[in-house]
Amino acid sequence: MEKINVKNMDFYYGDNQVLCDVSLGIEQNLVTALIGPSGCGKSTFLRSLNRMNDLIPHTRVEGDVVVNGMDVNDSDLDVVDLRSSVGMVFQKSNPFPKSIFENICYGPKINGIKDKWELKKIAERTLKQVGLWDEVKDRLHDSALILSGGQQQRLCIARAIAIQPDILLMDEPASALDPIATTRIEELILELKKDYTIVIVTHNMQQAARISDKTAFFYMGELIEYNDTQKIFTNPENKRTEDYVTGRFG
Amino acid sequence: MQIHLDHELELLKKELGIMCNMSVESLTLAVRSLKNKDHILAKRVINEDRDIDLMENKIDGMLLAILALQQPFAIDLRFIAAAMKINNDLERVADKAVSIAKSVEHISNYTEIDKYINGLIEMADFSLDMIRKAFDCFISKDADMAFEVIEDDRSLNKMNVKIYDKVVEFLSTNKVNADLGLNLYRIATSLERIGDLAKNISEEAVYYIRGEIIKHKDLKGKVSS
Repeated sequence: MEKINVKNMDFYYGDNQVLCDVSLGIEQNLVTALIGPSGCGKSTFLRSLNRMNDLIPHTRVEGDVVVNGMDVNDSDLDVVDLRSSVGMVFQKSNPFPKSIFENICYGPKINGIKDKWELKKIAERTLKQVGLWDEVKDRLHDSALILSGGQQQRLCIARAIAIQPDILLMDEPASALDPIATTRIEELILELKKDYTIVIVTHNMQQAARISDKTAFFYMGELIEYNDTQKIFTNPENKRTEDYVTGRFG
Repeated sequence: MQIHLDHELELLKKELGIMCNMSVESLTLAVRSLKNKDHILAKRVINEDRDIDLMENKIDGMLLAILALQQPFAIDLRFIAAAMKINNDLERVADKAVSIAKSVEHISNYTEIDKYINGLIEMADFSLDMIRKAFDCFISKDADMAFEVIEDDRSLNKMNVKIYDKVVEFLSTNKVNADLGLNLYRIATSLERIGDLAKNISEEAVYYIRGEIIKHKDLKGKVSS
């Protein structure tokens, strides 16, 4: 079942078109990797799935983007509703300068949950989901900023899933982490896909190959090839995909 | 990174080429020892097999290093996967040459051997040609030639059946020379097996060139338990 359906999407920064006629269906409970050289439009595509590009002036989008049954580009759409079902994790961990507990509970509180017992349950559940509970359970009210980079990124993932979204968007979530922290994030992604549909942008070919079920290769704003990850990395259909994954350009 | 990988792959191709030449040379000498009933040459084939084993290990080391350090994908990954198997197939070709040489040591003193040699030499030349063609199609990325080699294996199998019939006939009339009959058949079986290895190499070449697994086509769609 498709959780995300994009049809004939064009995207512009001012007069500069960065996505051209992109059509892509993303299936539920799979990890879909977006790969391609810098500037190919993969992060723009990712951000267009939860209207994060709205924050950038002079942008324009055309085509249909349906996420979780919502017409993303509908001007009447409540972006808060959209983002509560589409969580996002960024390249650099960005915990709020608040306690670990407050970071997790920020979203649920905005969504109206006030009961302290309920918030504690959410904090414990999500921290356990990201494998951080045992490491922080005795210091939930310490600042999140004292955590290591890897822990901070797992906290950000916990914060994203605390509002129980259906979809998680990840923009190079492990690119700033050491190999051990990267492995933990990758294992977490594989664990989370049971409950979430995950779309991840990565420059790390090995990472895309290890964790994703489907891979989309973007080049110069076009979706060149979208296929099973195994197919993309062993026998891609398009010569440009082959040249990219073998490192012959990009 | 890619320039370095290309360099490593070129080195690997050269070493595999040397490995192929060594195996073909070993088989050529084994066949010559049979033709000339030359047990000294047969002994040489047996002794020199160690060099081919060492070469196989050296190439295995190179392949593993490329996998670990370069982490190739797509056509590069298929080349490495195919090269791993082909390296092993070439080593087994040399093992079969040793097997032939050992049989030659047993039978070189029999005078009755002459009337059976022609059939074996015909098989040997055919299987040698198959190995050369199979390796060429891998290096030159010629899938059509690979399918020709796969087809050639049927002809080699037919030659083997003819030898089998002759050996059965021989054994039924010369019970005292069972050793000769069994060694003749052992040589034929080794040559038939070399044809199978050439077919394997061709199948790996097709996988490398097209990304298509063509071996065990009859099992397509069936799942192993």
